[in-house]
Amino acid sequence: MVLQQNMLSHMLLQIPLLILIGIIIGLSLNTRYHIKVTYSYALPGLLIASFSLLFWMLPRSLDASLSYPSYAVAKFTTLPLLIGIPLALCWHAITAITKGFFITQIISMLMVLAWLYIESPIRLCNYYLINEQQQLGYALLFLTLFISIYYSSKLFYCTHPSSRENTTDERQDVS
Amino acid sequence: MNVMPLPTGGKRTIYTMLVVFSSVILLMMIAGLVMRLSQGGVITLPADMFYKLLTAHGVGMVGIAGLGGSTIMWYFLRQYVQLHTSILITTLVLFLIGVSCILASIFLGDFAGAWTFLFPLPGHSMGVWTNEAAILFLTGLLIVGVAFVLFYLDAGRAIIQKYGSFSRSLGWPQLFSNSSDEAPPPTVVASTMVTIVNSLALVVGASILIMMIINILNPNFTIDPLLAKNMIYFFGHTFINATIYMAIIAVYEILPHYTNRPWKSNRIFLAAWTASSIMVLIVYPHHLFMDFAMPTWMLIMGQVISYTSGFPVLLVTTLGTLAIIYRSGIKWDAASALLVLSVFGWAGGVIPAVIDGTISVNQVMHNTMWVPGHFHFYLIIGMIAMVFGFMYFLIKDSNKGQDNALDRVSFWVYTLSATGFVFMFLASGKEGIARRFAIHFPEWQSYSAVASIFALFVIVAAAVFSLRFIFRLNAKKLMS
Repeated sequence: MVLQQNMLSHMLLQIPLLILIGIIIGLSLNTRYHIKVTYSYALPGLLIASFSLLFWMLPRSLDASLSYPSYAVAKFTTLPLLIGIPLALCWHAITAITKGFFITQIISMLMVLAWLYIESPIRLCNYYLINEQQQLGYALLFLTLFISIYYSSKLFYCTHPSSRENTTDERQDVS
Repeated sequence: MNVMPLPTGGKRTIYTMLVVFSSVILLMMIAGLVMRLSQGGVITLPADMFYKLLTAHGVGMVGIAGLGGSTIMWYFLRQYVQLHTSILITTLVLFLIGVSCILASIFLGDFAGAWTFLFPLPGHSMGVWTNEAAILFLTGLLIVGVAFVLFYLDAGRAIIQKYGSFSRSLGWPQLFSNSSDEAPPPTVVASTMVTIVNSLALVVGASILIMMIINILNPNFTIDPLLAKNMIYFFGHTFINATIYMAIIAVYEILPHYTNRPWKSNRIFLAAWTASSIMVLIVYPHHLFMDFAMPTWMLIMGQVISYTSGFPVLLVTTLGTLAIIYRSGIKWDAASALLVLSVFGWAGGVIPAVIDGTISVNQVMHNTMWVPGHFHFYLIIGMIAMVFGFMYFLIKDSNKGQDNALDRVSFWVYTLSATGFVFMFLASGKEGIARRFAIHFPEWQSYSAVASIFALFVIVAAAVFSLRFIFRLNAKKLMS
């Protein structure tokens, strides 16, 4: 597996690609069967996705997926099924505040993860060298920066569809 | 004069938040008085208790200033965009949970590492407090941070839903494209700016808090102390500045009711707020002038931006206040007087801040009482006066609740004693008296003793403001 030879490509290429496959499956399921997920189902769906992602972010899980075929099978199935598909089906059903909370949390946690990988005095994965770990840390730092800039720009320049044309000094009816 | 009606949704939460604000402010002021009495040699406070009080006073005042500012911002922003009351309640509940953790860490766990929790102090107490107490303190701050993140997410969502994007709610089409549409009202512009800067500050703050918790649990994961200090001050400076930017909304919204002159967002106003949005984020290196390892360009930026950061918004607000009052026939009462006083407090407080923001001055003054002098100036006479003015405005109506002699006397007592109090700090700084010292030399003690007298009068006046608010709420059955 070429993508698994390097920690950077394993974490930032293979895993995101597997999730992307799940997202594509989820979107096509949605197009074909018109699955309507409500907020009450969307939140558990995203929690499943979050906890599954949390599991595969552990260096120990990453190691196990290289050592044991059973873990490898689990990785190739759970990443699309438990993360990709729920993301595709549930993301649009949650409120803007919950989305914002998830994004804020992801930015903050990626920043911390980047620091952990850069500063860790020991190898966290038996299969990868310490310099690869640091490369991953810096890559995560750039990813954090990219996500932050992307969402900030979106907030500034993408006009929300539900906004009214008239944005004058018009007070809400607060009764 | 017609007083703006209270929004039904969230009304009780707003009142509850203001009662919490008043109570915490009074408690923290008393903690401050006890410290000043101890420094003045009037009472004897054990050094460990002094630093615990210093920590509680600092973190308590910053947190409650954030809550007070948020209350004002929510109350007025709610009149333009659809905010969720449930989020406001969640913010308050999480805030109180966080504060409980912080208080427990200080008074039960003996944590005394100051509100700035500078690395590596929380994890290296030399046996004064345990690692568990430090983690509880940092976790408490994290919970308070999450509370404010939720608050700003809701504000950001509501603003974007109504105005389409932050660029539009900051009035950029009017500013840069000569759009003929009416610009967003000042409240929306100010709320947008605060939402942007505080969201960034809180994300960075949360990151350094988690990093420090991991470091305490496993010291092998080291943190660059200079990076930690940069992240802490990026968060801390932005957050405490934003409290004033939120509270100033009270001036923009309430003074026009007294003068019958609207406060409009013109191009100068919009340009000022956009400029301050950027500058408030990059001015924080002025806290790190003593750190010789800082890159020189950052220190120079810290000095230059210190000179310019507050000025755009301050200038449009001060001149706007004078213009709106001049020959308006304004009727002075506690609310209007406190709000105008607050603009003076903000404007005046910036002067010693700018002086201290000069590298050559800072190298002499940084660790003196000059620094608490400048921030007490624009917090006591500025920010806190804005919230008290807002409280008086809320409980006022056309028939009842007119100010009496007690209110008028309290206003003057507050104004004069708060001014005296901050000038004692500044005079102490001028004489080179060190800050953060539990015990003062006999030559220094008279400054603290005089400051304590002023502090006592400030507390009495603040207690009158708070009790009048609570009693009038009760009399008007507004909480029912």
